[in-house]
Amino acid sequence: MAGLTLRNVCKKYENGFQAVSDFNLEIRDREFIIFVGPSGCGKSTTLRMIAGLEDITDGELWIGNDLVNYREPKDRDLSMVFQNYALYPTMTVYDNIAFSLQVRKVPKKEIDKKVHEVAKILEIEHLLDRKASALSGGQKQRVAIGNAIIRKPNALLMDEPLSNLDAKLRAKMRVELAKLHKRLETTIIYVTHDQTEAMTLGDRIVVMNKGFIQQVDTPAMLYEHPDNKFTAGFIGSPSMNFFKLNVGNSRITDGIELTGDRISFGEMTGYKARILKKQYMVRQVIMGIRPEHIYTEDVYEAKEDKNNLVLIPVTIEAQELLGAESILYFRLNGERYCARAAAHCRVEAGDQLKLAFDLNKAHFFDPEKEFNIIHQFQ
Amino acid sequence: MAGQNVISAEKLKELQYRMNLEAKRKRQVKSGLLICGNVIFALMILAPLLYAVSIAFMPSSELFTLDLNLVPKEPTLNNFIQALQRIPLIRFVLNSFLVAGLITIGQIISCSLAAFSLHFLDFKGKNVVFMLIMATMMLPGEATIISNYLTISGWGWLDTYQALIVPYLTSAMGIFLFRQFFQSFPMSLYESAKLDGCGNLRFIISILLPLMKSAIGAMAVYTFINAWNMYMWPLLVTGSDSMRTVQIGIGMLDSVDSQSLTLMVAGVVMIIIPSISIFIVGQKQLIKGMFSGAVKG
Repeated sequence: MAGLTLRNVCKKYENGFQAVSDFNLEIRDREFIIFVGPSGCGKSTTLRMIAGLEDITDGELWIGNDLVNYREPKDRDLSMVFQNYALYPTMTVYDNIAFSLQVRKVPKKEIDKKVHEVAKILEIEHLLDRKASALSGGQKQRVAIGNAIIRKPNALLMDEPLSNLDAKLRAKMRVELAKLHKRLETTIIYVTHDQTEAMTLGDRIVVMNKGFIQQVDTPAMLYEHPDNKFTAGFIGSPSMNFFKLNVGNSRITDGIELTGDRISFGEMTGYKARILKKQYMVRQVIMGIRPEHIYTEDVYEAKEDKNNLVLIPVTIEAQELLGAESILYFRLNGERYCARAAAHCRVEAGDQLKLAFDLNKAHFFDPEKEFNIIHQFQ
Repeated sequence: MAGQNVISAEKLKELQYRMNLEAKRKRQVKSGLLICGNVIFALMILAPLLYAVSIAFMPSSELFTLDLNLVPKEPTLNNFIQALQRIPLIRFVLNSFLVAGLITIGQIISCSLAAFSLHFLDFKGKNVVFMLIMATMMLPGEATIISNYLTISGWGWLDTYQALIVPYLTSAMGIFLFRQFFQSFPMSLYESAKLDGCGNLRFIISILLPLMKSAIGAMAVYTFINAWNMYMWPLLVTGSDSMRTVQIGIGMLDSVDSQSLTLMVAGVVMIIIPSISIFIVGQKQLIKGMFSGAVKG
């Protein structure tokens, strides 16, 4: 077990495509770290560079106290779980799990003991004699994990391990992976594009876009304090609503007035307003509000403190019932946005109703550089 | 509802039974017709072959008559015995087996290794090398036959086994076939093995080889039959009876002085038995292998 350090790691392909740029990250020992981002953001490439399956164009990769840029994959003592499991189809489950030890010429007795140990942890003891090709998706995934953990590697790399499973099994395996991490106390680097996996599994999440790290933080911090517009929009489902607004002087209070194109969010006070007043007066900002911070009228009425809550009339476009709650899609000023509402809230497409926007919970981003203004100037 | 169009349960059952029977009969007629058609076509295609077999059992006097003799009236093994006496056919067959067998083994080893490196390994100019190999498929064998002959004779290899075998130890077709086959494997299988600490050779032997069975089968059948049927090259480089392969040897049955058609056909029938039996044994593999890679699953 060891920590990993990536310093200024870059990946540039021969055709000139820059897949990863200036990647800096310290992964602590026994940490469950998640790389998340849209497809093509460089997360898998980074993982493959760590594994040694891709060359590192520039920068340094340290495992513990060793610089391993040019070390062969097998000598890095890492193991990897692939999206398509990569089991050896003609071998039995036992041999699949034991393969890495057999290659390393570990004594047979020891292998046998370890395989049974691992199989017990993963609850696949009854499958040991089966052929790998005769297993179901979830079982294959377990065997692949078994193959990866048997050597007790420096770190366990996982490349979208759950994305070939159906939704129910995925949820189940997610819980088991979290349990497994606690039990094994190993460093796990996990790549996914599924933010639910990222939020539920990770100690820390690395949000990536276009080869750059956008933010590295704990799930809660990422959600509540996104560093930039990309992270804000990427984390959370349905994603954050963005409005382009102008910051103006308030005529009534000492706060500010937020107005957009044919839309007004009116007065805003508080510390966020003070920062905006100081830094962005008479300039444009992008305001982001999560769907759960837009309330229906009955919720609004029930609120005691109505400061910075703005009621705005909207046109409903559609409603998605999710059982426990529902998502309202509405149009405002020609743009489409969404809000979270209670399940009992029933509306029809075309309905006009008033929604309350909670400006206390809003995030503000620079329109050009997209950084979080409040973080920057706090 | 009562009283209207009521059918008793028994009647209903009978009706259903009759409908079932009718559908069944329709299906039987349809498949029967299809089988008949197939048999007719198969007979048409097989007719020359079957006729050859029948000639091989005829005394020569029966062949040259004005009647249409499809089946021998007095079947005889005389032709076979004479053919075996006239030329050392057994020796030729053994030669052919040796040559075709070694070519097959050699091609499987060399082509699979080449295809492995062309698919799994990463090196500069990989695609160029592959294209060059493919380009050689466009050269007809006859175009290189003279330069090959000069090379072989320069080495003093004329009339030896190596002259028959070595030039055919690899083939672009085989490399292509194996490469296409490898392309149906996920790359992650190789990467996973690499991380497990498994070297290339071990990966080939313990992981790839068991998966390649169908491709190897197809390749083996294809190569063996091709090598068995080689004519031009063995004719050129062999001179003595001890090196001659069966395809050339059979020509020796045709002598200007006493041409016997039945004798020649008996010889031919004997030598096509190995290639046909290999095809029968390997046809499933052949078809599976030829199409793997083209169609997934």
